[in-house]
Order: sequence, then C-alpha cells, then structure tokens
Amino acid sequence: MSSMSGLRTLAGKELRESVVTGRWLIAAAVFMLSGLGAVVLTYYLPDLVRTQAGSGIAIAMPRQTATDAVVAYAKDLDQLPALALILLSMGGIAEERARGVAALILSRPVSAGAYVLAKFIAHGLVVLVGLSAAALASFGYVALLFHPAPVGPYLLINLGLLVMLLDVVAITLLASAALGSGVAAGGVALVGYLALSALPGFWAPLNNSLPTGVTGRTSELAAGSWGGSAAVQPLVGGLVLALVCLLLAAVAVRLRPA
Amino acid sequence: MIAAPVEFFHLAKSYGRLQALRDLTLTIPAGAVLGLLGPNGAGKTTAIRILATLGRPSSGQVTVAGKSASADPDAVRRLLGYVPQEIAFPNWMSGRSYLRFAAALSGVEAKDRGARVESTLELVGLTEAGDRRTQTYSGGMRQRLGIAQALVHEPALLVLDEPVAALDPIGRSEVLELIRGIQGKVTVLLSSHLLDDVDRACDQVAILSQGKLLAHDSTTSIKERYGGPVFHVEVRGGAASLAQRISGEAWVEHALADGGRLTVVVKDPARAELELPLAIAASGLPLLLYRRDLPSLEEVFLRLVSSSAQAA
Ligand SMILES: Nc1ncnc2c1ncn2[C@@H]1O[C@H](COP(=O)(O)OP(=O)(O)OP(=O)(O)O)[C@@H](O)[C@H]1O
Ligand SMILES: [Mg+2]
Repeated sequence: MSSMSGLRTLAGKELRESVVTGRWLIAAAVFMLSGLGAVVLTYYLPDLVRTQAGSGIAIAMPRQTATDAVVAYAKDLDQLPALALILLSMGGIAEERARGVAALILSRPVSAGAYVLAKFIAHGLVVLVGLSAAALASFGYVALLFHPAPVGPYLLINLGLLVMLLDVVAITLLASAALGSGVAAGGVALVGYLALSALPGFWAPLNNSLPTGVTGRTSELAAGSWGGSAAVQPLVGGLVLALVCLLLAAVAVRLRPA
Repeated sequence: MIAAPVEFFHLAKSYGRLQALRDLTLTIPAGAVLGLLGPNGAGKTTAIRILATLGRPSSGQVTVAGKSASADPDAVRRLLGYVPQEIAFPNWMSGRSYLRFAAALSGVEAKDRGARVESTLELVGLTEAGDRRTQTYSGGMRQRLGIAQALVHEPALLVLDEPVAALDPIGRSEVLELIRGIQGKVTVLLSSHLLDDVDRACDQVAILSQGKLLAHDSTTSIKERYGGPVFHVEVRGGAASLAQRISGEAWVEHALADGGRLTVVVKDPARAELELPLAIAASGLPLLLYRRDLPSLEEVFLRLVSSSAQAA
C-alpha cells in the first residue's frame, strides 16, 4: 500500500466540501476586500487626513506612491485573510473526529498522510485562488490609481504571501489533528500564526528561513533594493515548515484516528 | 471476498486506572455471526474499536485472517466493513454520493462502483432517498446508510456496534434478515442490547461484563450451559394452585402462573422431568400443553451478569 492511498478520492471530497460549504466564496471575498481595500485606502489616505485634520492644523502628508500601495496590500493580506483561514480550517480534522465522520474514513484502507494532505490541498487551493484574484485585482487598481507596480517584485511579494498563508493552513491543520476541538485548534493556531509573524523579527537567521523574510521586506522589494535569489531561502524554508506541520499532523491522526 | 476469521488474543485496554478490557481471548470462526453482549460500559465498543483499527490495545492483540489490527492496520482495513455506535456523515453529502465515496476509498473499481452503490442502496431501502443530503435523514435512515457503507465494498468481516438501536421493528427485522442472508459468506460481529434480535440473528454469543469475557458459545449451547431449562405447561382452569403447590420444591427455581399457563424455571432438570408431570396429575387439572424449552437469551444474560457482579 502506498503511503498516499486514497488521496485522489479524499481530495475530491475536500474540494467539493470547499465549494458546497461556501469556503471559496468567503475566502475570495476576504482576500479581495483586504487587497483592494489596502490599495484604495492608500490612495485616499492624504485626502482623509486632510479632512480629518480640521482648521488651522497643517499636516504634511506626502503624496502616496505605487510602492506605498503595494506595501499596504502585502501587510493587509497577511492579516485578515490569515485569520479567516484559521477560522475556515480549524475544525477540519478535530470536528470530523469528534462527530465520527473520521472513524468511517480512517477505518478504510487510506493513509493518515493522504487524509491530512487532502485537506491541505483543498485549503491550499482556496488560498491560491483567493490570493490570485486579490493580486490581479489589486495590481489593476494600483496601475489605475498610481502607476503599474514592477511585475517581478510584485510577484515575489505574492509568492511570499502564498507561502505564509500555506504555513497558516498547515499549522492550523496540525493543531486540529492534535487537539480535541476546533475551537482549541483555532486558539493554538492563532498563537502559532502570531509566533510565525513576530518571532523571526528577533533573529535574522530565522527570518531568512521563513516567509516573513519576504513579506517583511516589501518596501525594499517594491523599491527594487532587495530580491532575486535572496528570496529563495525564505520561500523554501516556509514550504519546509508546512511540510513538517503536515507530517506531524499525519502522525497525530495515525496515533488517534478517531 | 472470503469470510475471514477473527481472533482476540489476551486483549487488554486501560484508560488510566480504568480497565475497560481484561485479557479477552475469543475466536470467531470464518463465516460465523457472533453477538457480543454486555451491560453498558462492559467494553464492547472498546473491543470493537480495536478490531476496527481505531483504538490501540494496552496489551494483547486482535487479528483478522491472521493480520494484526495494530501491527498491520491496512491489511485489516481492506477486509473490514464497520458500523460505529455513533455514526456521522458529512452533512452536505447525499447518501448516494457518500456510498460512492466509501466504495472508492475501499478500492472498488470505478467501473463497478455505480452498480454496487445502487444495489447496496436497494438492499437497505434507501434508493428513493439516495439523493437527499444525509443531514435531512432520520436516525433510522442514517443507521441504514451506516450499514450500507459497511457493505458496499463486500467486506470479509462485518463489524456492527449496535446496528439496530435506531431502527423501527420493520427496519430491525430487515437488517436481521440481511445479516442472516450473508451468514457463511461474511464473518459478522455485532453488539446489541436487543437480546431477542441477537437470539434470532446470531449463531454464536459472547457475553462481556466489566471488561471480562463471561461466556462464549453457540447460541443454543450457551442457553443449555448457563440457564436451566424452562417448562411451559397449560392446563384447563387456573394454574395458580399448581404453581403454589410446586413453588417450595427443591428442584424449582420459580414458578409463574398466568391464567391457565404456567412457566417453571428449574434448578434440577432431571428431577423436574420426573416430578412436574406427577404434580400436574395430582392437581387433577386437564393438561393441554407440556413443553420443555431452552431459556431465553435474556434469562441467560441476566443470570450470568448478575452472578459476576455479585462475585466482584
Ligand atoms: N476514551 C475513553 N476514555 C476513558 N474511558 C473510556 C473511554 N472510552 C471508554 N471508556 C470506558 O471504558 C469502559 C468500556 O466502555 P465501552 O464504550 O467499551 O462500553 P460498551 O460495552 O460499549 O457500553 P455501551 O453498551 O454503553 O455502549 C467504560 O467504563 C467507559 O467509561
Ligand atoms: Mg458501546
């Protein structure tokens, strides 16, 4: 028996579940609102500041640029969408186990690895589609309101975001596999996400091996002063982190199937 | 698939200090239908979950066709159809699509899947409701779908944890009929609190109490071994006086009169066979019926479980 038996069937079920339960729509809406909101807000920020400032006080608000918009975009997509993903995936394994759905699946000849990976694929695709839609739409708006952002760096930023959000999904699935309830898993995943966002800031070698190494450098990236091969290590490091989380999740499922 | 034998071998399971199973050794021959009985908390579900590769034993093991459920779970899973005590499906799936999913997971070839799913739906009476979401199913329909998903891949071993608890009387007898129909072709282990059902459907019975196996035998022998025979007598007129007359006798466990009918549970069958006809003749009542019967499974169960509880 291969270590991934049942993967196709399980992934098919998870993908249909994503569609039927509206997970795609929720994710797409959150991603679009976050991305476009950041760009549009950046554009109107000087006006907003001016109208809020009232009479007499002069605030010098520099003219915003395409770079500012891209930086704001990256920051926003790293927040609300990550929380939404935690909420959407925290029950993934814990609830199926608690209800008894998992018992019927895992008493068949399928591997725990396939069970976990199928869920990751479905949630990962939700991320990919939501992020692509947000990235395309935001790129258009940046071009419309400012001027076109340089494509290479913009792509790299989005790759960084993709890996970061895939890590969030993998961490959440691990929590969901290890803990008894979806809510507990969500709480732990939130702590994991905050750690992943904040901890690398304290230690450069860690930062260079995790997606924050890319998503935390958006200003330099957008300005063209950083990038290229330096981004490979953080991206690969992020994917390795996801893989490790998934492996641990599979072990947890194997030890306690239902 | 050919029916697979099951062997529990010194199986034990503890949850902390609670010993849910103690040294369970039990063989189910290929093709047998075994009813696993026991009061609440006896360890039935614990044993079944280990057999279904979902729980790990603290010691000992259980094998299906020689494959260990804990050491080689995939081999056991390929032989197994399992209906858990609490059954749940993804709410959004229809019964039909769930069966298709289950068949695919258990390796039923894509070209056979459609036909297999339809015949299984038919078997459990869900053809009409097949396209409805499982969320809208009644408890009994869910249990039928549970049995269907355990049969759809034609397993060698069918394990059912209280499969008829939510069914109406018609559904129950349909399921029992179904189980009797596959007798010999599939090995069946079913747990139930409905002793009459077990009596009708199972050719073997094992009784578990507080994690220990109290008895295991064929349904007929277990009654002969663990319950004295019962005599059914019917006389014209009231049997109450007759009941009173024999109640104090040493060979009588108890005698119960109901109109002209008399049920006598005996301690000493040999003496009863001699003395009871004499007592009836002495009463002067016209005899309409005289029959020696095995006790019901319920009587055996109560006797075994209460005496083991007293011993503990
Ligand atoms: N996960 C668990 N943690 C702790 N104790 C457990 C667990 N599962 C079962 N037990 C205990 O093990 C014992 C056996 O439980 P089990 O579910 O096997 O009984 P059962 O015979 O199936 O009972 P019922 O007829 O009520 O279904 C019980 O005392 C139960 O409380
Ligand atoms: Mg039980």
